[in-house]
Amino acid sequence: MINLSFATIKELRAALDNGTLSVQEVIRFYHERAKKHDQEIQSLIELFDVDDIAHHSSSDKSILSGIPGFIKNNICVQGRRTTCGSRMLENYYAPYDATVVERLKKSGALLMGTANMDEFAMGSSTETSAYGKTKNPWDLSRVPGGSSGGSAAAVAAGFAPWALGSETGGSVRQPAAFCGIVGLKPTYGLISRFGLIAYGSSVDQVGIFARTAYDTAAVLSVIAGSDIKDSSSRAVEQKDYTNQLEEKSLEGLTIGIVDAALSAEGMDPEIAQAVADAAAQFEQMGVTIKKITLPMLDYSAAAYFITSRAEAASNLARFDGVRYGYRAEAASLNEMYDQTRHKGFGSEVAKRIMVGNHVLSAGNAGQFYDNAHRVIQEIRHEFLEIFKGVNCLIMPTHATPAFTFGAYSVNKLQMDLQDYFTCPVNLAGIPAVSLPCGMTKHNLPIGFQLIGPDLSEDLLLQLAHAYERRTVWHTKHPQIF
Amino acid sequence: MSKISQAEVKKIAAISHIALESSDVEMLTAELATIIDYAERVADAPVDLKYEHSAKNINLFREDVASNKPTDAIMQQAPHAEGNYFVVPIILENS
Repeated sequence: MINLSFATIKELRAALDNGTLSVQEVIRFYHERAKKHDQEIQSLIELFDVDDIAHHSSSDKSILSGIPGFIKNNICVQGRRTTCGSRMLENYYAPYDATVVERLKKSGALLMGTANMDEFAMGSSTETSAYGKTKNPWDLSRVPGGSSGGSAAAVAAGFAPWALGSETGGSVRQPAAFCGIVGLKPTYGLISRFGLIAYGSSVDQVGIFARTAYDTAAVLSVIAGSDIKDSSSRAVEQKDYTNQLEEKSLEGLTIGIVDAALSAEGMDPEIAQAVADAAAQFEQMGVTIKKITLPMLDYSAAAYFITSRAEAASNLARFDGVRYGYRAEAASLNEMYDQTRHKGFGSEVAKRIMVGNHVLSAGNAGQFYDNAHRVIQEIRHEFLEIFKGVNCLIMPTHATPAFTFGAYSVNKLQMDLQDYFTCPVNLAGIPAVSLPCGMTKHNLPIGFQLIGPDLSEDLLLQLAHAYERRTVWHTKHPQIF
Repeated sequence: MSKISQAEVKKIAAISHIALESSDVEMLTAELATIIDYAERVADAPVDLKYEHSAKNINLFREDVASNKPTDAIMQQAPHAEGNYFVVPIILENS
């Protein structure tokens, strides 16, 4: 009998297909587990009723049919509260399904509930949620990362084998690394954004949390592919990503390692060592490791701050108390707007909107927004040039392991710089997958990322799968309950 | 020197339609200054845009066809509605 708590999609699929496990048993087990233990972890905004989970499951047979998962609460699930972790949307019930949710329902996947997140996906710790602070299942005094911290913690705690998150600057990969699981940020446009509540539209992407590369590929197979409802989606057909994973020789492949990243200021030596060990592991598998430089790395976070806040200022202008969401009653229309947004948004969101309007305002746009866009073009160009000489890159996902609650409450810039290693990938629009590659002496997970050119998910997952075959890090689970 | 003044912060808050507590202005100014100071480094980046730019995505177009859908689910979300209208505080004074 498999250990259901930390079972993979592959294991559950086999047990469901050979009849040793029924869908009802799956629903009951994970529902009970989440209901009992999420009081402590607080990874969920809502755990759906058992009857609703079963009712919405299609009878279609697919790789995900009968497999439970959670949806970050900025992705619309019809008829469900879609709060974005904000008081602003406390009573907002999505009137339609996001394309990814529609595809998951059609596949027969079991949607168990919605996951906590930093308010409007703005944060790296899930501390800015209006619905409680999600705890890291490895150490309850520490954050799970963010902004998709609820999704990551739910998978790490064994409430389900997969969850959807979203990335703007690293919000899937960083919490995946903090929680010791796999996190995929796909190529911009590979997964539809229709129904994902916008933060920074030029970089936003739905991402996937799972325990293994195979499981990540399974979810990707269901949700990826062109969508006419998202004008920025790529003309890429849906396909099965799991059948590309099996052992092919890695001989002849070259992976670039961003040397300066391992010696970057503030880099935890245990993480640097674990990432160097991961590179050495690939070398043993026949891959050539080549040192490369990424000069724009040091400008990426600044360019990301500017463009993401500028886009947020525009995207979040829609929350005005008129058509949906929170409204503060006031005598005049302008006062109603001002009070609605003052009371409806938390301080981090308000701050980012204000930075966005500052960098877009007359007199500042040239210095900030225009320069940021030049940097972004240069970053993409730099990556594409590098990929002419290497198949993909290795970089740390994070500079420090999961930190304690409130660690950056004074030095907020250091919190924002959690995106340092992840956001260049978002700006360039290319894919990356974060994988567990070690544990610190305090038993906290360490992650590294494989970064590839446009639409290289097959290659990244194949390399990730090969890495998992020779290492044990993805099999480690928190021992809390 | 701070890159943003308290007066500018108040102006941006007004543009952003976010009311400020006067007790928050000083701390907010300091926080915004920190991030704006950091963001300024984009001006120093050695950017050479002489190469051909490779767009990260291409627009996907669909037919521009109007459709009528039931509005109930939308109108039910409104903080204040009458029929198919959203009700807001009075904009023009009665003369």
